[in-house]
Amino acid sequence: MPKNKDPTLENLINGTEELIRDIPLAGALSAASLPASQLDDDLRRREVEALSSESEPTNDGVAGFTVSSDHMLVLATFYPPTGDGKPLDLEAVRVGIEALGVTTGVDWETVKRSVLNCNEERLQLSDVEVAHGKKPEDEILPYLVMNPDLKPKALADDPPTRVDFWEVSPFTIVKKGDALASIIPKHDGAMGKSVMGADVPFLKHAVPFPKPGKNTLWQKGSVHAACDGKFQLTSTGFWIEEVLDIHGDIDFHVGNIDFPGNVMIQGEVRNGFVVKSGGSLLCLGSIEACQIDCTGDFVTRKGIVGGNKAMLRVGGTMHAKFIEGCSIDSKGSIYVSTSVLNSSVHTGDRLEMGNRSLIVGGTIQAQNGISAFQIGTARGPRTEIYCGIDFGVERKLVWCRDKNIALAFKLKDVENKMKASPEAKSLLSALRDKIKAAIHQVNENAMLLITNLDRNEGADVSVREVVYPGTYIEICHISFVVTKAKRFVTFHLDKASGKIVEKKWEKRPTRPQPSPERVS
Amino acid sequence: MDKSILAIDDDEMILYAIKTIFEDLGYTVKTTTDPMEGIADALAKDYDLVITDVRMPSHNGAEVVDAVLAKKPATRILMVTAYPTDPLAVRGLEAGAVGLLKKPFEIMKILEFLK
Repeated sequence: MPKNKDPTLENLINGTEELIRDIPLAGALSAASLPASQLDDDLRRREVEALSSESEPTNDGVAGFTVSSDHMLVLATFYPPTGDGKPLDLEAVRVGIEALGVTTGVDWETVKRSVLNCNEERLQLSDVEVAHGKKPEDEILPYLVMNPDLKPKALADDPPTRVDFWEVSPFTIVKKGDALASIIPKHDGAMGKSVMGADVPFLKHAVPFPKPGKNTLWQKGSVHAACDGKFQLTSTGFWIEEVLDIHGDIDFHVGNIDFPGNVMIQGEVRNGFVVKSGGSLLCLGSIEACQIDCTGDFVTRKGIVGGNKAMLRVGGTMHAKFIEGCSIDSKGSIYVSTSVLNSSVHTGDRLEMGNRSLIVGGTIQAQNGISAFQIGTARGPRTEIYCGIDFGVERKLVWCRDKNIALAFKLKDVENKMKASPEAKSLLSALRDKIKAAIHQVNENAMLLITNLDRNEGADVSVREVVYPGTYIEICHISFVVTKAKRFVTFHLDKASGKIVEKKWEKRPTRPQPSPERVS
Repeated sequence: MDKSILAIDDDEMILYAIKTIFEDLGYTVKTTTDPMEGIADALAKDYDLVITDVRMPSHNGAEVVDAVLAKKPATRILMVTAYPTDPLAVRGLEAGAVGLLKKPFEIMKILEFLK
């Protein structure tokens, strides 16, 4: 800029430049863009100036004001008149507030009440909030909130008086489609306004939340389980594990298990516990007197010590080192390495035993046959083997029989009563007809089951070493009792004679055996 | 159906149940608690199936099988037993009984042997 000779003009230019230098470069004057310390200084200077203008001692009522550094609050102190001083004047207060540059948010009701109070009661009222700015509303970005039902069924802090420890579980199991989390939509921000009338910008705020991971899917603003499994949640994410991996025993630390997918147990299953799996089940330890229910394959690296109480139901194949004192239903084949002792074993396919294996005592129902090293012992308990018939249908027929026996006994009672008291005859005859109809209905069901019965007349009982007397073999309802020890023999049904016959044992063509590892 | 069954058992209630169930299925059923009467009946008439309990107070099932098959070897006899390896049941099978039924009786097996 060229140098100007006029000193008044030069003063004007310098003063203006000094004034302009204080204005922030961003342009708009706002509380947020002005440094707080500078605002403080401005305010104090104005307060001092206000005081100096009234520096002469006076008995009149006066008011003093303080504007907060963020220009969002104005505090006032009202001094009452003393002696013969004039009361505090509302108009003077208004002028004072406006002189501060306050344009919005003045609470005139409070101001009026305070002035009145101050004058009437002659009380000094300090730090009265006479003007408020409008605070900005933060913008909140969208975030997820977890479904509150997904808390683990662990023992509550305040447990009920009776706790079923069998059911207490540290796992949260979900089914496919279950809601895991729902989204909270974005909350728009709103500008605030300082008492000076300047806009106050809002802030953007992000709520931390765990991110959806494996086996989850978005559906209409919420996150769902894409498969059955174990719900996993950390501070950073959540996901579904398809395999429930238990690093220890199934005992009171873990409770009963009911899992829709595959289950892997690193330890043992203790007495009295229930393990249900919607998939396959692998247990690295032994199985005690418990209940196992799985729709897929079941593998135990050790054995089952059932104590005549264990009950296992397997939808696929089953592998075990040994089986003792338990009841097993398996739709697929059962593979046992060493022994089946005093157990009730049912399979829709074959019971395949390993080298040096033996079956002693109990009942074996294997629709497609048995292959074992030894059956029975020289002085051991009886062993019953049934092949060729679908044991599931047979079980239903047993139900039909028992139902009909019970109905027949009831019919006998009714008929005896009718004979004993002829006056009740008409009353009981309807009941008798009803029972007869029920028996007929059950018989019809039984006949239908028999018609659709799956039979395998090619089922055989193959013994690689010895079968001892006391072994009963039945293939497609044809009976055979082993009366003397026989070696290297295969029993099968001779359709022509309708009898069980034996032939020299021959190695069966190897069947592809499912790997026990596939569970994991 | 016109097929007939003779049932011999010392348990009257079981005999009543067999009679009720199989008569409903259309069979003619004769029952007796006396094995001797049963033997005489089996020899006098041609039953499609004879069912006899193995263990009875006066005579056992193996004796029934022996007596009937000695004179009518074509008779089909099923024995009812709690234990299939019962020596008397084994003796009856060796004597010519066509099969064993587990107690109290098995409907499916009886129907199969009536075919």
